[in-house]
Amino acid sequence: MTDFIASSIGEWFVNLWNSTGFQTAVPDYYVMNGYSLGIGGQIIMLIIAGIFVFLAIAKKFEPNLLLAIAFGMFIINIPGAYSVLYGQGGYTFTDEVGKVIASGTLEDLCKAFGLVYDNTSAETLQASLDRLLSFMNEKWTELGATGAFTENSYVYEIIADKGLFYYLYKGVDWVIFPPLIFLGIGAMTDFGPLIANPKSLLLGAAAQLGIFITFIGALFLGFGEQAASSIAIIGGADGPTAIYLTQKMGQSDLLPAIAVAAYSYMALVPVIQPPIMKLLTTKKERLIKMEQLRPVSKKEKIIFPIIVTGVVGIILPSALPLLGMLMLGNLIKESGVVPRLSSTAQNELINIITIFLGITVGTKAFAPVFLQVQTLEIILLGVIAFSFGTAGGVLLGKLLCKLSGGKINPLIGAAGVSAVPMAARVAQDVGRKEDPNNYLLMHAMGPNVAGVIGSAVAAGVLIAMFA
Amino acid sequence: MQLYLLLSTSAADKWSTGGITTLLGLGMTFIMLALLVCFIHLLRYILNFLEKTTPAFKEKIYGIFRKKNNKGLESNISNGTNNNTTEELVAENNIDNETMEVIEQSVKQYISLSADDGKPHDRIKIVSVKEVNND
Repeated sequence: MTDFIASSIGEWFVNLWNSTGFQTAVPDYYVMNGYSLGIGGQIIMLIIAGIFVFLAIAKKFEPNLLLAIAFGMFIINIPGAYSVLYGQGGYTFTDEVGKVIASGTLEDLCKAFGLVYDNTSAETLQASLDRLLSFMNEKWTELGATGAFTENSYVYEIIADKGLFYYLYKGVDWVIFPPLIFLGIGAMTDFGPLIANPKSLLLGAAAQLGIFITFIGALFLGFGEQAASSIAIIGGADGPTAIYLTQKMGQSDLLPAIAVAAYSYMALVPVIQPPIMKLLTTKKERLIKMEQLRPVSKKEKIIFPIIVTGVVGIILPSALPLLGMLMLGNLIKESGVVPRLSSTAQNELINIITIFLGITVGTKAFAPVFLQVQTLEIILLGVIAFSFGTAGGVLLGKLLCKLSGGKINPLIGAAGVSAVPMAARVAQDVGRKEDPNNYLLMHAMGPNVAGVIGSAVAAGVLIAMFA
Repeated sequence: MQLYLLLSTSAADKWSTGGITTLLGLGMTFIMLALLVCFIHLLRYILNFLEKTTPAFKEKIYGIFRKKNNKGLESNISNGTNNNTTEELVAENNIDNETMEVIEQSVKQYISLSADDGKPHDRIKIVSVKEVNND
């Protein structure tokens, strides 16, 4: 009896030890795919998460999203957390007609087919997988499969003990969250300055230059067209659009780096933009005072979202999920007949989605996925995208200034990168440094909200071309 | 196009892929937003046009209804069944200046919020307030 109790307690302790993060730090799949940093990588990620938490709380860098992203990074990189939060990964074998032939973890499948499973190192794990694959290749038809066994016959995915974040991530995976965020943004946005000065829409288009310049840069760094598109959209300075496009392009592995880069640079707009704005404009141009905008009627504000949705829907349907929701949110606000819906869209809805979006994107920054050279490349390309976007807006601003006989201050062009309302505030601040009585904020809000439309349109164009 | 992009690997191919994408992408974005600029301008003209023509149209319609209502009213009076509420004037301009100002501000605010013509409404002046008993 005493022996039985002792052995039971011993077994219980062994099981407990095996379930701790020290034993199950990183799923086998990542070890086989060359991840060699082990717990060290996760400790690096925990430090990075700590820095982001600090930046969000102490420096207020886009805290609404960065705090949740940073916490997601933190929680997923706790050794052993991945398989609890997302679930157990394994292989699913499917034949030509979609019939599932076998599904399970590598260990379970090896045991089921009487093969040797050894997880002592990356090499032995790879050997175990190779044994399984050659077994499946040999017995494919005997197992009842139709057609031949190819490399497309199996896929690695979460198959067992699916955790909370497996389900929450579906909101990102099925691209539900970004359009819902756009609904909230639409309900918070006043398109009045844009309707009063429609030319500012062109500034929103010019500021998308960064997206396409970065696309070329990403191609030269060896990224494929879809990955290059996902990275380039960072230049749109629009987090939900970046997440939406990345998912649409099937680049979920790049998602954490892209989201972190996009939101970090949006927070760094006051640092990145002013030197470029000053470099490209003369003192005389920065001193230009713009005429007061005309008042916009309620009718115009109500018809505007309907026109935008209709025009974009006909010409570029791929941009509709984002722009349609943005315009629905705006219509809800401007119609004035559904104050409760308007309030919910701009408060509760957007706040709830922001929490879910932030934390699920953060949990994708798992050490084996995030700690790669390509993350640094994405961060570098992101700053290029932002800089060229700012330059594009300012340069078109200069052109419009010339064409209008000096009535447009080119600084407002920089606000075309979206990053609402930060970029508009930066245009105002740079203008007021030259003349404290020059108020550019309302004029800059036009290109600023045009930038949101512009980046969604650019995303739609990239989806139409490459998705 | 897709197949061509997949096959492109050399620097020249990357330049051409990037160049084509930039031209098409940026061009498409500009065209789309330029179209919206046109539509927004057009919208303003349409609304202005409607604003000018609608009052005349409304007047025409109201005219028809007015004629009908007048006929109805005349027949009611002849039948002795005029049930219009009679309002007995209780007081006029016996309200202090402060209350008058509050009323004036409220009316201005209400009109500027509810008006959709975009014109300023700050020239309204309340000159008389009547207190009536319409029980």
